This record gives sequence, structure tokens and C-alpha cells, in this order.
Amino acid sequence: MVRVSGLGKRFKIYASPWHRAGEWLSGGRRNLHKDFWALHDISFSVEPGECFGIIGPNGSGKSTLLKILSGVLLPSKGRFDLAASTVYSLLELGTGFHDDLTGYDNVFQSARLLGLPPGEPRPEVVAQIREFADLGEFFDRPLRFYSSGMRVRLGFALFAHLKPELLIVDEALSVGDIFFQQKCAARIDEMRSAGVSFLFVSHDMEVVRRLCRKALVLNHGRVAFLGPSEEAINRYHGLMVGQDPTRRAPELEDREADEQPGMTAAEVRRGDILRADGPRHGERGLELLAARLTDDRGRDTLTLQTRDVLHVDLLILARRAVAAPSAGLALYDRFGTMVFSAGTGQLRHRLPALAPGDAIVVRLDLRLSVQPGEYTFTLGTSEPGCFHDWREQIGPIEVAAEGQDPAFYGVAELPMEARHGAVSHGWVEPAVAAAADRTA
Amino acid sequence: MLTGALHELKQRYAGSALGVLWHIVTPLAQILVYYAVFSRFMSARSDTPAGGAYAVFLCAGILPWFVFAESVTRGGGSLLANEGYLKKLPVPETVFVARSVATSTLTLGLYTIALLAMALLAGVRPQAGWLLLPGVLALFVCFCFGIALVLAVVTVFFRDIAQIVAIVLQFWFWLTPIVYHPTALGPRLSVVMDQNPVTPFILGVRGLLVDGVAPAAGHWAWMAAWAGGLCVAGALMMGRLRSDLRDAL
Repeated sequence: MVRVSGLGKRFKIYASPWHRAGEWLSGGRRNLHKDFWALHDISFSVEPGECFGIIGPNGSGKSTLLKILSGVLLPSKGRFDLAASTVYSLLELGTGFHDDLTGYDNVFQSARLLGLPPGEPRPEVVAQIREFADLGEFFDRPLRFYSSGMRVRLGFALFAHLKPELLIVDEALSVGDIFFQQKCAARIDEMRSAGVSFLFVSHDMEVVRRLCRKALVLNHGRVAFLGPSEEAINRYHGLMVGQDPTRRAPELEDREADEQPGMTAAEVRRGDILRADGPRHGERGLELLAARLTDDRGRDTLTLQTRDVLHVDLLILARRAVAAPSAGLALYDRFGTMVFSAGTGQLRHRLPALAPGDAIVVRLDLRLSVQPGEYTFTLGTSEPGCFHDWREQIGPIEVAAEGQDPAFYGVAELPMEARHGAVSHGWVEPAVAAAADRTA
Repeated sequence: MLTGALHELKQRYAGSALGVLWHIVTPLAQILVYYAVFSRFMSARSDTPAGGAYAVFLCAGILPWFVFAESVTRGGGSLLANEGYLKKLPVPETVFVARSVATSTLTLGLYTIALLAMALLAGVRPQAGWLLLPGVLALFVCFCFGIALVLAVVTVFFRDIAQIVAIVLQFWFWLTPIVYHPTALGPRLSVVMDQNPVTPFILGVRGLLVDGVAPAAGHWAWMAAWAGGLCVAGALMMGRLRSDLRDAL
């Protein structure tokens, strides 16, 4: 369906338009631009009915790649074949829409722009589009009265019913309300089973995990990984924290004694996720030098499932004598609400007194019994009455659902147990029994 | 292409009360001004006709000019104006220039009908030479398309071109024999007028319409050379710069 081999894209960077003019006037003999290679040697293939993910940090070349595949930009090197005759790209939903035309007219105008013959889409398809978009009478009103969500609905409804063989989908689908998203997801499944291939670009790892079997990780315009999407997502998170996720972090022994050597200072440092420029406050008597997040299998990760345990290793250095040091964390949901916060003090885990120049690695094991979603962290050190070093806005860390059914409802799971007694047979309500006694 | 052109016309005036009517009212007002100034207030020269004949003379020049000016400004800016599409859709770039020029061509068709009607009203008798008009106009449209294509490509890279074109058009208008005869500006400027690529088209239309004189072979060749040359130049530029053009948008 899609074959990409050795694809490369170079942009010519001119310091000013005059440089371009100079180059033109010299008949191409002078070179006044700098080359910027946005993509290097990209190769992959997508089979019919396959959903292929493309992920990577911002600026890694995802959009450039999609633009080349949808024919908007021309490659500088290499080649690509789209065996599909109809390729639609949702680079931006509703690109061809005109504000003064009604939804109905826009459907036809977009069809023209996509190269459909006049008379297409047929009336029954228009009816399907109308129904899917679910705009009511707005379908016959000019687009200037539409909300942005309505535009997206019209756009997706249009693309999903024009029978493409390959659909290139950008972030676009993360807009719209939850019901429409679900409708889109169902429609995508339907189209896939009809043999439509998808190229998916998203920052939403949950979408990639759910829809794509294979994925490509781009980094600085090169292929960082190509393979199963699950592994690709881990690689992606590895890129985000800047290290190789295949390396295992050491396991901790069972905690029995007061002192349980976990990671060494060097190990914490190697997987450090603290950003030098992140928000930070406190008087730094106890400095948080490095922090590393690993899962139960010892992999560096920012993606876990509900109820997984996250191991947080903190490397702490005392700049001055601290009698009762404490290390802790706070977890925030995407609305910025603190879901949970505690430190070694609350756990009644007393850390040894530290003298200036002493370093210690503290491990916090946090079971993430929270709703699936994105969370951020604050990690910090303190002593009674004093914040030493709080590092804020760490992450985001992504908590995925465990299975189909929610493990619980609400913000977080509180410790809850259930028990029950023996069954009483032939039960009669006491009031009824008393009344029966009186009459007897 | 025709539906596209009609559509563009509709879009251009969508939302305004009088709609496409503006397409006729605006040039009409301009013609009225030139007619008033040149035939009433300024003494008409002996070599320019007076009264109704001048109106035909003026319109035979100015209506094609309107089409040319519109092609150059709208067509020249058409790639930038449709940046939104070009950034998102794999449509061939030339389509937008062609559509813009096609819209102008539609106007040209209407103008031609109006011109013929005016000529008849002013007492010009219908003549066989009028059958050559479509030939001249076809070359004229090719010429407009060629120049629009070249400008459209260049404008993407150098956005100041649009402003420069607007200024150049001002001078160009007066260096073209539209409101007066080619000789009106004296010998030195009439050389410029002769080399002006729009001149042969205007004179061709006017000659056929007013005087019933068919263009000579050399005149035809000159028009064909400009029309063909510009189209080829535009196509070559587009072919060469296509990739850069997409990057620059």
C-alpha cells in the first residue's frame, strides 16, 4: 500500500529574500543558502488495512513526512509509492472549507478539491455525511455560524465517507467531544476492516497503542525505531527523558532493614529526568540532584497502567547539616489538582541525619491507583518547617487503563476491603415478626 | 474550470448585498470618469473621436485593460491567496492561476458582448472582421495567463512583488494607448508604447471593432510571440521551482 525508501527532505534556508534573489540572478552559480535536512533516509511500508503510527518529539519531522506523503511537499531524495489511488489527508480538517458557503455546499467544494468528479458525492453519501456529522439544520447554514467543533465534525464525516484507500490522520482527531471521538474511533475500525490503511500521527500514546500495530519513532529527522507500537511508545518515552529504555535499572531488595541499598548515585544520575530549566524553589540546603523513574521491570518509563508501581529514586545531597531530612512527592492531575502528596515523614520512615557533603539515594514506591490519564509530579526534599528543594512539573506521566472495565470510579482508589457473613434463610423483617407475635 | 471560475466569482462577492453586480458597477464608474474627463472637460484632440464614438473607442481599450489588470493582480497573487490549500492539498499549483484567469476571461466575455452592443448603438456597422475577435481575445487570454503565472511564482518568494505590480500598473496604464491614440504622447514615449506588450492586443481589438481593420501578419505574430513566450516562461519557472515553492509557502 505504502512503500517509502530512503526518503530525505532538505529545506533551503535563506537569511533574507535578497539572498534568494542573488542566487537567482547568478543563474544558480552562487550558493547563498544553508541546507537543513528535516528528514534523513526514512524507509518503511504499510500494508492494506494496517494502521501505522508515526510518533516522535516536536520538531522530529513527523509533519514534514506526512506532507510529503500527502503530496504537499516534494521529497529531495529517495522515493515513495502509494499504491492507493485515493489518498486523503486530514492534515487539517476542513482545509477547503469556505465560510460563506453552507455545510452542504462545502461538502461538494471539498470533493472538487480532492479531485472527485462532478456529481460526486452521490446523494446517498451526502445523506450519510449529514447523519454522521449530526449538525441538524446547521448543515444548511453558512460555515461562519459553525463552532470549531462543528467544523471538525463536518470535516471528519466528509473524509470518512468518501471511501479513501489510505487516510492520513494528523492530531486532528483529538478535537471534538467524547461522543464524537468515540464515533470516529468506531468508524475508523469499520474502515480498517474494509481494507483502508491509516497513517496516524499523534502525541496521544493511548490512541497509537489502541489503533496501531506498528509504529515509527522519529527523532531529529531520522528513524529512531520501527516496529511494534508498544515498544515504539516505550522508545518514544525514552527519547523524551533522553536515554535508552532497554537498559534495566537495578531491582531493590525486600525492605526489612533500615538501610536498603537501591540504586547507586551514578545509576540515578544516568537516568535523570530533572530538567535544569524546570520550575524549582526552596533554599537548597538539601539539594535534589537527580531523579529517575522506573517501572516494576526496571525500565525507565513515563507510561504505566493503573495500579502499577512507580519507583522513584532520588539522589539527595546535603549542603549543610540536616537533622531530620525528608524526601517526598506530589502527584497532580491534568487540571492541576493535587491527587496525592506524601514524604518519608508521613510514611514514618526516618532518614538518617545528614552532614554537609553527605549524599543519599531515597527510593519511593508509589502504587498508581488513580484514574487513567496524564499526571505531573513534584519531587522534593524538606525538613520540618522548611522546604529545601522542590522540583515541579515533572513528567507528564501517563497512566493507562488496566483493562476494559474501570478498576474503580472516582479520582483515586482508596484502600477498601469487603467481607460478608453467612446467609440467613427464610428471612422475615423484625417489625413484621413482632406484629405477628402480637396478633398470636 | 468554468464551474470553478463561476464559483470563484460567486465566492468573491458572497456576503455582499448586490453580489456579482459589483463586478459591473465598479468598471462602469471608472469608464464614466475617463469618458467625462477626456471627452468633455479636456479638449478632445483631432485624432481622437468625439461623443459616442469616443465612448466606444475608450471602452474597446479600457475593458480589455481591466481584464489584464485583474489577471495580473489576482492571478499574480493567486498562489499566495490559496496558500491554505497549497499547504494542505496536493493540488497542482497552476490550477489556481488558471482559475483566477478563467474568472477574468468570463468577465472578458461579458465585456465583449457589451462592446459589440455599444459599437452597434454608436452606429458602427457589423462587419466580417468581428469574426476575428475571438482569435485576438484568445491570444490575449494566453498572454494574461502567462504573465500571471510568472508573477504568481515570483510573488511566492518575494512578497513585495504584489505592491510593486500595483504601482507598475499605474504607469503601465498611461503608457498603453487606452484613453488616447498611440501617437498622443509624442515620438519618444510612443516608442515605449510600441514595445509595450499590451499595446498590440488593445490595438487589435480596437482596430477590429471600431475600424474593421484586421491585424496584419506581423501584428498576429507579435501577439502570439508574447502570449506563447510568457506561457512557456511561466511553465518552465513553475517546473523548476515547484519544490521550493511548496517549501516557501
